[in-house]
Amino acid sequence: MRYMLRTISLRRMWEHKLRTFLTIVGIALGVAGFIAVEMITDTLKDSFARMIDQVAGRVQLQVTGGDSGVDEALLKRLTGNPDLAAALPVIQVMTKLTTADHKADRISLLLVAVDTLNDRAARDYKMKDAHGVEISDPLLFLNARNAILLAREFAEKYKIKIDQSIELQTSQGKKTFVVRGLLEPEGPATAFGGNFALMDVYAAQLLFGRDGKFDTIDLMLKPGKQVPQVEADLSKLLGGKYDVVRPSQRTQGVDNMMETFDLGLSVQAMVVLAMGIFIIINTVTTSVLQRRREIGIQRMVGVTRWTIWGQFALEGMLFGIAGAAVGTGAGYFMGHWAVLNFAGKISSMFVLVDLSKVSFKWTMAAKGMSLGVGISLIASIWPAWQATRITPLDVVRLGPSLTKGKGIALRRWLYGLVPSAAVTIYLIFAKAGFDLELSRIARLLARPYSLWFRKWGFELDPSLINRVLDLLPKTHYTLLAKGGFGLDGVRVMMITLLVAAITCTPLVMLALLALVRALARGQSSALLRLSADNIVRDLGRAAMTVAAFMVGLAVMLLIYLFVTSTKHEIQSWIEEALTADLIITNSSQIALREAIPVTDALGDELAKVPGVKSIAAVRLLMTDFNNTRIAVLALDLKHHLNKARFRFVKGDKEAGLKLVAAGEAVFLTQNLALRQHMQDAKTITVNTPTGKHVFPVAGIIMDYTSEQGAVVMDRTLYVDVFHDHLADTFHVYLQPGATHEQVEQVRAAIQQNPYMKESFNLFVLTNREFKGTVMQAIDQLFALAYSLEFLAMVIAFIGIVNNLMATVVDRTREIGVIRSIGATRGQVARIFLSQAALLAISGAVISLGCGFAMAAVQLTRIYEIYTGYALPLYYEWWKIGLTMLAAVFVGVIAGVMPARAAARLTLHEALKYE
Amino acid sequence: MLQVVDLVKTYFQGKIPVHALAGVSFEVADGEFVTITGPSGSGKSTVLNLIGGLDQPTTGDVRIDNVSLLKLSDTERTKMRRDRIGFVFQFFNLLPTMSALENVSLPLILGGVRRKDAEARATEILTHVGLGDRVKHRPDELSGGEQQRVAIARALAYNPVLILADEPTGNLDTKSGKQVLEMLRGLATQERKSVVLVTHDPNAWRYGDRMVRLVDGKVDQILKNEEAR
Repeated sequence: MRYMLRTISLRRMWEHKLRTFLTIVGIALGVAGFIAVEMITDTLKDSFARMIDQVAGRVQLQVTGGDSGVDEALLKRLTGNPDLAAALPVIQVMTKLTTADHKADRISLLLVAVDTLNDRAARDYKMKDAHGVEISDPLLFLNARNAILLAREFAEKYKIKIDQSIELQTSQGKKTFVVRGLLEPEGPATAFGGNFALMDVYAAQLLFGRDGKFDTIDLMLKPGKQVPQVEADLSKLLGGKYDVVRPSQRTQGVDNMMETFDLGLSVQAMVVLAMGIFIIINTVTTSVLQRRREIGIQRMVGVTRWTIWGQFALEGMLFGIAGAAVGTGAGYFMGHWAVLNFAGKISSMFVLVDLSKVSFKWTMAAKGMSLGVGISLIASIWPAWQATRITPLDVVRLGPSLTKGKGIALRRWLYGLVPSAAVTIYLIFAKAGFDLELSRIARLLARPYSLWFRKWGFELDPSLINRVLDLLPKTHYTLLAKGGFGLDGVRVMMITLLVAAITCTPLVMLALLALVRALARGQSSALLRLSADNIVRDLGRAAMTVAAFMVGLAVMLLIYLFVTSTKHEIQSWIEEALTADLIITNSSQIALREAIPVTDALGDELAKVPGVKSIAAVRLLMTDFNNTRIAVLALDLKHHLNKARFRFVKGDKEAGLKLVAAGEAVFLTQNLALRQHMQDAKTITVNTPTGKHVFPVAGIIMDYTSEQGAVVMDRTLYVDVFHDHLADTFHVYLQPGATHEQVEQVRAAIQQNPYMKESFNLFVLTNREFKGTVMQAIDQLFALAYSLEFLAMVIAFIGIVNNLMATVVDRTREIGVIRSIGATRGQVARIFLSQAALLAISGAVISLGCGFAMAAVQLTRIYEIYTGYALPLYYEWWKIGLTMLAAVFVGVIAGVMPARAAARLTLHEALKYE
Repeated sequence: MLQVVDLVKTYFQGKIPVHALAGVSFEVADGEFVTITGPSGSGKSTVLNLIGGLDQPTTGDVRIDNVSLLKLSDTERTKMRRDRIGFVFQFFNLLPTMSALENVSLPLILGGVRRKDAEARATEILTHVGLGDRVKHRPDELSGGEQQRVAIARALAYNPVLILADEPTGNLDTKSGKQVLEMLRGLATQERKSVVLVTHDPNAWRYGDRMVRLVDGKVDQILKNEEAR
């Protein structure tokens, strides 16, 4: 086999350099995209885990209450606990630093505030004096409220010296701190890429709005105490009011929060990778058909069928190995590029982390490599099998080598439709409540396929079939969930849709080509006819190219429909819900993770600005809930009930609003209710600084504030229960009917107000600007998906070039004949350009149906299962039309190189070509 | 009508130069049927390729009605080939997905003739070559002789003045081969078309007016039909 590989396969691959190159690039792009996605999601998760780990130090357990924090009174109770060596209060905030000379301006900084007397029990801080001598207790330098320690590297980077004053953004506005020392890069000082500051926890309480609260209480156990036992005992002791967790467990909430995003990207990356299958099948099939005579000769001199099979399967694998190797290297750089360009925005939506360390693990490379090689091997199984069917007689046969006949191609493709149809029927029956056994259906399906195998001389062992089928679930329980198809069911539905669309490809192509032939007139009819004939004669291979193109386009359409529907729905919701004239946030344009909440006293100042009628403070707090992080949204309903615009899903609107405005109940958002199966809930229990609190539920509303869901309550109730006077945004209302000029005047007045200008870093946005910013944020979130889609289109493009180049090689003699009877080079080029266009149009037509169907399932079911939202499908035909036109144009561009190659063929060589 | 002037063709097989033609000259008059014979590798097909403008000579010239092919651009050569020259090949080279009628119409349509008119002309020629009842048949539904007649009909589509035939009987049985040769003879005699036939067939040269025998890329002898006999 090695001999055959060296003397035949490798030489052939070298002979067809362009085809080999394009195939390897096709696989490499898929693998690279996969690795890049793995890197970006891992970087986000690892960075968060690293930050937790670095800040946690030797801490064994933490008492947390989500973002709402824990009551400081708890510290006293824990300090005396016999199992604990230390209980250490911690506050952790992201803030912005500015130096007096503005050499450092609004630099993100992780500020950790600790108990200066006891914290060294859990964390190591290292500091040296001016002579390089280590200081025994650096925390003693934090003896003043405005004292701060900075990480040395950070300070040196921004040329900050000891005793220099710096400004930090706090909830009370900008505050001046004095740098009392520089921490060596060890332990917590390395967190958030070294952008780290340390201060006293009691000073931080005041400055960052944690009155009477800490973010966590970190625990050190006495020697000999077992962590699980103490964890259980403390949980019992706290009566479920707070969570007692190991620091590493705190990453779970972020992992869960990112699940939908992570899944969406992973699926897309897998689709891009899977598109390589089409390219490999196409390449190996072309290779087999063009080398039919050579295979016949091999068979004549005694090479066995299995050796022939192995030869081509190995060729496919070689493409995979080369593609995966190149792709792994490219993926490494692509991953770095993706982290640099996209991770920052994604991080600002989910959790702020240091992204300077990009995660790349060898397991990612191994996964990417094995997927690349695996799909290449799978893809070459069938063409290699076709090679084994060639007999020694083929040596003496002449005629066009690739002509398989459309009938055979159609039949083979439609075999693939059988499982899709069976699954569809199964799903319909399952939905109707019939208890069907998967394994029984699979057995029924296996029968015709085993006959088919027998036709080719292979006998399938029935006991083996039974053993494989026994692995399938006995009932359809995994496919169905209460009230409709579960996640597995919809996943199967999506795959079925895609497989059905792929297997119908040749059928749709034939119909389309017949239409084109019927409509074509004049000289172009002859050229179109030749183009169409080229496609029909290689229907199987052409369908493979179109299928790849179609999958790429369908996924693109799916993403477009998803993003457009999401944006449209959110836009119309904001139009309805957001009635304020101006929206004010601190330190960030919209309330992302990087925004620093400010004291609601700022609202009183804003109310004094001439032209302002009223101010409503809004607070958005993330809190842990059933292993995920949901939002608590506090709105000033008591004073702005007439401005409240809620879309009610469940409950009495009038009565519900009154109850919530009076602070007697809360609303649940629809997605929270669906995700947490709380559609009929009468109450909800939420973490608060005073422990878990039970709120009565007054109704369910539609709200897109948080993908994980939100509890909506009145601000007065929120302040009472959460002891939190902070606000993330302020909604400014002017007199009804205020003109644009008046709005601008108020905005200018706020921006120029000395107190607000000096103390805060306010973003004052008009209603329209704020909406625009939200839309922009959605686009940024999907930017990576668009980039992956670009990769998919490049692979589809390669597929078309590959297919057409093979056609040029195969039709060389015919091209010679056409030229010899008077076709100009331009006319020959037009034949191939038209062929490219016809392939692309076929792909576009099928992708329209497939994309819309998948989008419908995605929006109504998958998205609903993951987020609890069921979005109505929204699209603009002209945009879709334009996208399809662009796709066809891309297809035509892909035809340029093959068309040039065809037009440039030397006539007498072409006529001699066999 | 056709002048072949001192044609030299050298090509390279790897780095080794191969002298396919080393100064071939002859003329063909209107309505004359010339056969080119010679052993394998003597340069017969190369001469035909150069006459048809399918390939370019290293030196020398080919003139058709005093127009030098060498001086024509690629497009002009294509037009010349389409309008004035008809090709017939050994393996027929019909497009397998097209019917006889469509194969014959194709050069006309490519030249801008309306489809209806092209098909009318194609039907006329096919009838002329005795295939009036086979116009709708595809190549794989026709015998070898019939396929070659379709190829001749396609060569005649533009009513060319020169027919170039490369081993047209090489893939046919004796009876069909004879029919094809008689047809080419008739084109020269009755329609005053010049025919250049490259052949290995020992009987084929008998249909020509003159025979040019090539050996090692040179003209070995030119004989009139009577002399050849």
